[in-house]
Parts: sequence; C-alpha cells; structure tokens
Amino acid sequence: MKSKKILALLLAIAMSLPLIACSKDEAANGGSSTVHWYMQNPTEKATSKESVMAEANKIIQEKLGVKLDLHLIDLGSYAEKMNVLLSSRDKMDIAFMSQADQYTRGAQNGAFVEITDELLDKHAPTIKAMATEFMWDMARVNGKIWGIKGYGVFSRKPAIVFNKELVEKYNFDYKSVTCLADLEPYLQTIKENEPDMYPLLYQTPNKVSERYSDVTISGLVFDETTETYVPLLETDEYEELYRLKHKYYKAGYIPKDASTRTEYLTECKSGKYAVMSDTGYYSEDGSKTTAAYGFPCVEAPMGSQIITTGGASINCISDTSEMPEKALEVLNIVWEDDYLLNTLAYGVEGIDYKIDEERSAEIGEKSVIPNSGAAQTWGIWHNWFGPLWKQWDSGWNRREALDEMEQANLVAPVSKGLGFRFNAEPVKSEYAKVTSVKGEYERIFATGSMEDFDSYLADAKRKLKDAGIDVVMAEANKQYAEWKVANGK
Amino acid sequence: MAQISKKNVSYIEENRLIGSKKIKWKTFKKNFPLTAMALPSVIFLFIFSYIPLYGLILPFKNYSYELGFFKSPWAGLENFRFLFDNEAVTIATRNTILYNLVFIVLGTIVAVVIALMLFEMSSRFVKGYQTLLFLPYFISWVVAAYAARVFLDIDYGLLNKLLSAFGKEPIAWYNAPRYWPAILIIAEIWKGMGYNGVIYYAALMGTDKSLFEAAKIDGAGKFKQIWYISIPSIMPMIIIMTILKVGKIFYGDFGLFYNFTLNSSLLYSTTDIIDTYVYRALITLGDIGMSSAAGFYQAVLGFILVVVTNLIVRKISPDNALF
Repeated sequence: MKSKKILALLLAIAMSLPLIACSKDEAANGGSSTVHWYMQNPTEKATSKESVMAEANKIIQEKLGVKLDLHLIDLGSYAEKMNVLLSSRDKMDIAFMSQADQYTRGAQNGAFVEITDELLDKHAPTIKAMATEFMWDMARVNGKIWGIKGYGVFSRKPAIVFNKELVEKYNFDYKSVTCLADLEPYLQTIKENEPDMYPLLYQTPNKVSERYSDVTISGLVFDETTETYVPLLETDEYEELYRLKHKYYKAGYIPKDASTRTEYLTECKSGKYAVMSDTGYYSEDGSKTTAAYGFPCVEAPMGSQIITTGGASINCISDTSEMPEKALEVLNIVWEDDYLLNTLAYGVEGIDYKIDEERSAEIGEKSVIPNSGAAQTWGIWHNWFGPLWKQWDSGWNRREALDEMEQANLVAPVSKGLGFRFNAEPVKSEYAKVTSVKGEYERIFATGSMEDFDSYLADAKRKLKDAGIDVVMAEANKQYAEWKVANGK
Repeated sequence: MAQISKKNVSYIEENRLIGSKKIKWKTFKKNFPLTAMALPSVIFLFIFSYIPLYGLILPFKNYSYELGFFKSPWAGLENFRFLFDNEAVTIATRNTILYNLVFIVLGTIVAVVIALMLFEMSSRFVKGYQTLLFLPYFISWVVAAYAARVFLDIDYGLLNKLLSAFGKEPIAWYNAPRYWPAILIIAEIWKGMGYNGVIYYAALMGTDKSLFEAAKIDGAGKFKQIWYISIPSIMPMIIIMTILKVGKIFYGDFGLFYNFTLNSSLLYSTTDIIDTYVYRALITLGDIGMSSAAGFYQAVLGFILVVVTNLIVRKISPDNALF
C-alpha cells in the first residue's frame, strides 16, 4: 500500500519535472546581459550559429558590455511564428518585422518601443546620420516611428531572365524586350522546338506601370494620378496583363499545373524554363541570376518601380525588452561596424566564406566568396541587419551593382503616398473576407490558368463586391485623406 | 444484451448498501490506489483543458498587445462577422459538414468491415495485416500529398499515363474541382481505416466466445453470426465513436484539405473548408480575436450537435447514450 502511494507521488513529480526544467532553462537564457534578436533565416541551413555569435560578440561585448543572441526562424514560417511571439508577449529585445500588416498592427497595439528623436540622438547617432528621410516615413504609424527600417533597395528594378544557352541557340534579341507581350514569338519558338522545356515561368515581371504603385492593401492598388486606392481588378492595365497571361497559358507557354508550383526559386533552379523571373534586382551581365539559379542567364530590365511605403523589413525594439536602450545600441553598432554587419550576414571567415584575393586586389576593397549551395553554412541578407551598401563585394552583389542600387534609391520616382500605412482595424471583417477572396484568385490570374477568362474575372469581381471591397476601399481612401492632411502633403 | 456477471452483481449490491458516509469513505480508501492512478490524467486535463478556458473571452475582445488579456476592450460579436454573410464561407461550411458526414458514415462502414475481417482471420496473420492497415495513419498529409502526385501529376502521373494509354485526354487533376470529393474521401478513408478498424477489432475481441459457439451449434452461418452477434456487440462502440466524431463535424483536417490538395485555389469550390478559409482570411491580418472567434464558433456548434445526437441516441436506445 505504502509503496503504491510513493509510486503515485513519484509519478506526479516526474510529470511536473519538464515544467521545472523549462522554467530553469528560460532563466539561464533570459539573463539581463543578453540582447535577443529575432531574425528570419533565408537559407536552407544555418549551422554555424555558434561561431558567428562568438565572433560577433567579441565586438559587441567589448563595445557595449552585452551579448547578442540571434534567434533564427526560417523565412517560410517567420511571420506566423512572430505573430504568436507578439501575441503571447514573449520576451524579445529586437524583433524583425517581415510583413507590413504585422508591423502596423504591432505598432498600433503597443508591441514596440517608440523610436523618438531623443532615443536616436542618445543611443543611435550613426543610424540617424545614415538613414534617408523617407526611410523614417516608411516606418511611421500614426505619425510616430516604431522601428528602424532596413536600408536596402527601395526602388526595385525588375528583370526578365532568360536561359542564356537557349537565347543563343535561337538567336533571340532579348535586349529588345520591354514587356511580357514582346516575348510571344520567342515563347512560340521554344514551345515548338524544345519539348522538354517550359517556355515561361508565371512570376515573370511585366513592364511596370508608372500609374499604379502600392499593392499592399488586399484587392486594391494605389493610383498615382488620382491619388486614390482603386480595385486592382477594375483597372484596364491589370486586366490586360492577366488576359495576356491567360493567352500564354492557353497557348501552352505556362505549365498546366503552374498554380500549384509556388516556390519560384525551386522552379528557376530546376533549369526547365526558358524565361524566368528575377532574383529581386536587375544585373546587366546576368551575374545575379546566374549565381542564384546555377546556370548561365541573361537579363532584360523592366524599368524601375516607384518607391512606396512598401513591405516591412523593420527592426523593432520590443515592448517586452528589459533594456530597450541597449537593444538600440546593438542596432546602431551593427550599422556602424562593417566587420560586424558582414559577420552577421556572411558568417565567419574560413568557415562560411573565403576571401577572394584576386578580386579584392582588382577593386581595391574586400571581396569574398560565401559558401553556396549544399556547402552553405550561413547567410542572412545584409539589409535585414543594417545598410546594404556596407556589404562586402561578393557573388551576392558586386560592388558596381551595390553602387547602382544605392544611386537608384536616390533618383527613382517616389510615390505620392509614401509613408501612408493602412489600418485595417475599423473594417477588419471586410478586410478578412477580401483577403480570403484575393487568396483564391491571385495565383489563378498570375498563372492565367482559368478555364474562361471573362467569366472568371466577372466572378472574382462579384466575389470581391460580396466580401465588401467597397467598404475597404472607402476606408482606405478616408484614411489616406486624413493622413495627407495630418502630414501636410 | 449486456451480460451481467456474478462479480458485477455483487458490486452493484455493495453499492446499493452504501448509504452512510462512513461506508463511502471506506470505499474511497479501499480504492484509493486506483483513484490515484487517474490523478496524472486529471491534473493533465485540468492544466491543459480547464485552466485555458479563460481564453474563451478572447473572441469577444478587441485584443491589444499593450492592454493584455483582461484589459482589452470588449468587441461584442464583431469578431464573428467574417464567418457569416459571404459566399466563400457558405461554401466552406457546406463542404466541411458534407465531407465530415461522408467520412463518418463511409469511414465507419469500412472500419467495421475491416474489423470483422480481421476477427475472422486466423491469428497468425492478423498482426501483419493490422500493421499494414495501420501504417497510413502515421503518414503526415504533407508526405501523402507527394505520394498522391505519383498518381495525379499532370505530366508524369500514373493516372494520366493510363488515360493516354487508352487514347484519352490527360486530366489536369489539380485544376479540376469535380474530381476532388472522390479523391479526398478515398484519401481520408485510406488513412483512417486501420486506426478505426483496430478500435472495433478490439471491441470484437471482448465479445463472449460462447455466443459464437452457441450460434454455431444452432446452425448459424458466418454471415448470420456477424449480423446477429458481432455487429450488435460492437454497436455501443460504433455509437460512441460516432457521437464523438459528430462533435468535430465543424472542424476539417487542415492537412488533408490544405496540403493534400497542394492548396490549389482552382479547387476551392469543393475543397475549401472552414479551417482553410479562416487561415486564408486571417493570414495577413493575424487578428487573435477573430481567429479565436472561428474556433469558438466551431466548438459551440460541435457541442450542440453532440448534445442533440446524444439526445436522439437516448430516445432510441438509452443504454448506448454517452450521458
């Protein structure tokens, strides 16, 4: 009898053990001398976290007396997991925001510490000196700044990418291509002569319209000429684009099951497409895509995009942080110290990258060769940490490309609505419904893979109406007008 | 039908005698070790199912990170609005209920048939068959989705190869919603039949062997035995399992409807369920109040259905009702 009692007791203790173990573990990690930075991880594996942290902490600990701990979450599930972290008010110091909606919401709900001028002067003078004025506009919600915008490319320069071998084989003048419609004869040639190849990847960018810019509000697009948000599907330009996509789909240029092939990078790397999309920015010699896809590519530029408030890529100081000033100082030192920034992004020399002596001598500054493909052990994009321009020259970005991108930021057209962020809260039911409808039709239009274009378009428009797109649009335009008045534009 | 053995009779008698508190205490003490064995589960249930119940206020709140759980302002029924009055959600609700009804009916029939077959089999092979049937239950829908592509891929799929071998046009399966009710039902039954079959098989093992012997002596054939002995003896189990499943009728298996269909949006008219709709609607909004409203809605409707089903069962055969 007694032994049974003891057994039951033991069982109860054994059951509660994991709980105790948990809390202990947390105490060890959450020591006040560590700054916890949540960051997304774009590569397949990041195995050398320990050595990268050790190398980075040499600098950070010496200068600031605190340690940095990066918490990496893979890109695909980052927004979702960050949502949970934010809602449960987990202890974080720096939280990288990957989504505009999430950032706005977090800012409105008090998840972040406000970045005041005072704070910047005292703890982040370098950031204040380096950031351009419109970067602060991009980070503004309700007139206040809630995070440090990642300093990267704001005017994306899209490109249509061609498989070099095929372009040469069929002697196609790819440089004359200025929009998707120009591709038709080439796609037809490929379709007829290369039965093992798909002519077109559906994510391929179209010629960017000068008239329409911001597309971050579900179902709507910003019209620069009238300064209003209008339903995207109601515009002639988009209808025309989607009609063309459908034509290509019917002609067999886009794979029949394109709507289920969503990982564009995997598709590009497969080498089965003649015409593909870019990796984010045009490079004249095609070096960016050649490096990314693993076979020779050439590119044709598609103009440059209007700078809009855009997505997030904003590092926020969490409201749950016990030392927000220190966290800001960590951010500042990352902006300031080239070596630290490149260590966080490229990793550690000899483990994650090698120095390219020849190229370094040629350009007169450091050039590196990061491990790539299966050998990759570390790799996080620079502009998520700090200014992209401090990147060391490598296959990721050549110095020339970096300079060009920095220039483009300064000369590209800027949207009239730059700095405006939509708050979906007052119409969240309608917004949720519209988002759900958009989730249904978006990929079908992009791939052109509907049975009949006109009836599908009419149906999509009707469903959006039913979901309440008019309510969302009215609210967006109302908020925009208010924002304009408040900001004196 | 229920066989009351001698032991049970004496137990009931004993219970009847228990009137005074003293005897109650005595019984409790006597059975303490047994009660204590339930303790870990009770604690588990309490911690993970009862304590979080305060979360039920979330659907009615406008949750703000800053104000936290209790101080966030009340939102009334605002958070539930996106679950009604639009076409997509009507389709999703219809799909969820219809699929689950089919899963319950067909799934149960298949599982019972499997249990009966296993029961009639010589015990030498039973283990092997059981394992083979059970195996799909452990395969995640993500993996199963890739396996299904072996059949359904537009260029390399077995089905399309077969179709073209017969001179027919290949079908773009992932673009054609009309085939998916059948595909999803087959997939679900394939995955669940072993698990459910084994439950009924275990119930069959508990039937009194002498009943079968008596039936044999009376000249009943295999089918008569199944009809008059096997099925009635597992009927309580079937009813309990069904009532439990009815409670989940507003929940769809996210893995099945999202991953197995490759989330192909051309299929939504026949594959969209409440869970995938809510996921799609809230993925960018990330509103806690609205997502918990969806969960609340599913749970409450499920609860009502369970109570109603149980009421019906109690009217027909009171012995088999859950409560």
